[in-house]
Amino acid sequence: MFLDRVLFNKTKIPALNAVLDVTQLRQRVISNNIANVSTAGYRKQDLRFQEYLNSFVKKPDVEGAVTDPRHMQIPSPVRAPEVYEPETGLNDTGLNNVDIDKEMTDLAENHLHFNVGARLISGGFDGLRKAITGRTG
Amino acid sequence: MQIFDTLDISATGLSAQRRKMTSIASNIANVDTTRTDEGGPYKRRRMVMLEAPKLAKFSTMLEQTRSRMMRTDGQHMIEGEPRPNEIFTGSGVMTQEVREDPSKPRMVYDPNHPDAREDGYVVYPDVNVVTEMVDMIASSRAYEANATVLSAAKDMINRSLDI
Repeated sequence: MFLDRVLFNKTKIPALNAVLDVTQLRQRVISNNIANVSTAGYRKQDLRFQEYLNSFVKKPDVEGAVTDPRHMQIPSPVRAPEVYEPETGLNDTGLNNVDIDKEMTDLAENHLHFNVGARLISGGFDGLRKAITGRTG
Repeated sequence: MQIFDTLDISATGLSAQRRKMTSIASNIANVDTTRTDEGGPYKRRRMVMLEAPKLAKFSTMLEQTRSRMMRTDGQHMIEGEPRPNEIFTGSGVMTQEVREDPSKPRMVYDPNHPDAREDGYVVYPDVNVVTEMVDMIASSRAYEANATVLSAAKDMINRSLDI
């Protein structure tokens, strides 16, 4: 829709939306690791998301138009964030490779990322609202 | 809903640690039990943690199947990658109770005990209170960690209501 495009897609909102999506997913990954902290043989998971978030803020150097179904997309479509199992050694208990200190740090960091995203996106909506009503407050 | 999945995952962790705590309490309470319904001394209970199977919930699977687009023509676009909130992670932890046969029961010489064997020894359960206490501390720390995750998740959900 045209209105969607001018109002939302040209602003910072899509990027912040992606930030919120990614932090929610990362929260699930971390909580799964922490729930399995005493599971023997569990392999910790992590999320690869930098490339996905970068694609929202960095414009590609060359952009190709697809005018024929046989055209390739340039640049190639961005890969969605991906859950993977990092190769780390066993922790001190020898049960699995979940490092509880690292998980708690990641959790705190992820929580802050989410808060930043949420605050910025609500600021973005406030700005739009002000622009529409022409009044403050 | 996807947003509440993180609460479910932490809840499995909390309840698994609580079950572990129950079995530790039962072991310590029964440290001197020589009679049980199955006969013989009490057998040590142990909670083994298992990773919950990575099966998607029915609602998630249904949603994904329903929203998948068909390509019936070569000119159709290829469906994009799944959105981040559709990516599936694990679903927490499960427990399984194991009742071990005592590997080396504690033998105490007490011929006057009603459950004493003919040679005067009483077979006590193979419960080591020190091991149980250590397990208890580990379990309560893990419980705290899960509770922290839960409150972080709650805070995130609350904040997203303020957007």
